[in-house]
Amino acid sequence: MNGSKKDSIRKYKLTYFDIRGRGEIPRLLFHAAEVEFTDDRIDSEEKWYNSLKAKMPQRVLPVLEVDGKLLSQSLTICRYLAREFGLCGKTSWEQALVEQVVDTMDDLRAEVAKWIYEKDTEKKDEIGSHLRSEIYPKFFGILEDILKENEENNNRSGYLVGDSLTLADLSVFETFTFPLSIHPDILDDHLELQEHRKRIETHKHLADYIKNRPVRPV
Amino acid sequence: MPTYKYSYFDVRGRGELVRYVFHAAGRDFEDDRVAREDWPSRKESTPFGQMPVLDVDGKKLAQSGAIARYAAREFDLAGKDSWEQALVDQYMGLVEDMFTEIVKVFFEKDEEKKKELQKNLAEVVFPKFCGLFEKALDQNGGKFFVGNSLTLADLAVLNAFDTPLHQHPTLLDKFPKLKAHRERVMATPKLSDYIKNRKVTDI
Repeated sequence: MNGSKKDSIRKYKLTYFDIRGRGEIPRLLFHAAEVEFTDDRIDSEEKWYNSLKAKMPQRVLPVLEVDGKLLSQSLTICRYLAREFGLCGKTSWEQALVEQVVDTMDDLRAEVAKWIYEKDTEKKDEIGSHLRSEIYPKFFGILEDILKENEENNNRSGYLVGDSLTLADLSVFETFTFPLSIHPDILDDHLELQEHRKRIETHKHLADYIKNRPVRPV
Repeated sequence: MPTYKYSYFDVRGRGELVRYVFHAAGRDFEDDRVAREDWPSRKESTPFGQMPVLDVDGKKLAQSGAIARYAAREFDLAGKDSWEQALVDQYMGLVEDMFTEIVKVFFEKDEEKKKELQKNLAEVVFPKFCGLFEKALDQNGGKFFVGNSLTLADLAVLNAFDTPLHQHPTLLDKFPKLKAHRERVMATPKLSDYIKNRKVTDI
């Protein structure tokens, strides 16, 4: 799929709340592929509950509209866009490896969400400690193993799958954004992961967007 | 022809969907069921310290969703083009959302709260998801979730209701298309043999 901003044949619209949340990885995909899209950010809860929700197929956001057809489920949207933009691996097996990372990062997101949603401050502190002592190390280990294995397969690209940027790299980048905002030091002893993050941050198609995107707590 | 070995515990859990894919496609695979006592020694050899794992000619894949989608693609059960693949995927996501709600109840330790959550599950959550599935079937002509033939989406919905129906046997009674869909998918030739003969487990 040719990703030129000037001649995007399809009309894409991404509808989500005005936060990063489950909408940010799809946004990153559009920017990485340099494909135009309408970044439809819903900033009014009233508008959502009173008029939009009933129109959405599964009554949830994000929703991707492609030439008038609607798609729900954030990871489905991610995988679809990644396939369309050639950012999902070059073979069916590589696609599976990319998805493996994305699903793993969704597991991490779910763990971190427990901290976000916990209202009791004591329990919240406990969850925070558990994240630091058990959860982050487990996921860092998995990612470091993947990076190492991809290196050894002679790709030496510094990306997670194959020799170029894929959805896997974007999902890792974005999944760490919130944890780093509450625990800024977690990558201090993980140089490879720091380098990987920098590689995404400075990617020629992403640098501008990442630097200038709206700052939101989640 | 690749050699497939699929490793998971001897339950349905997060592993059964992939077994459904292999059986529905009529493909041979080693159904490696790992006993709980053996798990600690097997853990090291898995990519991420978890199961299920699919071994394809020595290469390993983790994450039940990624495995299911990979197998479905290999066996033409994934939808006929990228958009259909996305639709199939969408229903898997909806199934996952329903599963998340069920799991909350399962893990709730406070007895009072658990009873409330179970009531909510039966009166609000299941009807909501059944309604969405029923509508989706209706919009696609009533027989399958995507296109005109069996896909991973149909298997995922079948699998999703296996355990809930144990505890709520009349769950699908108010959703005729969904109920008929279930019977239709369960009758898929090799799959129906597998389901008839498998060991009955709680999860």
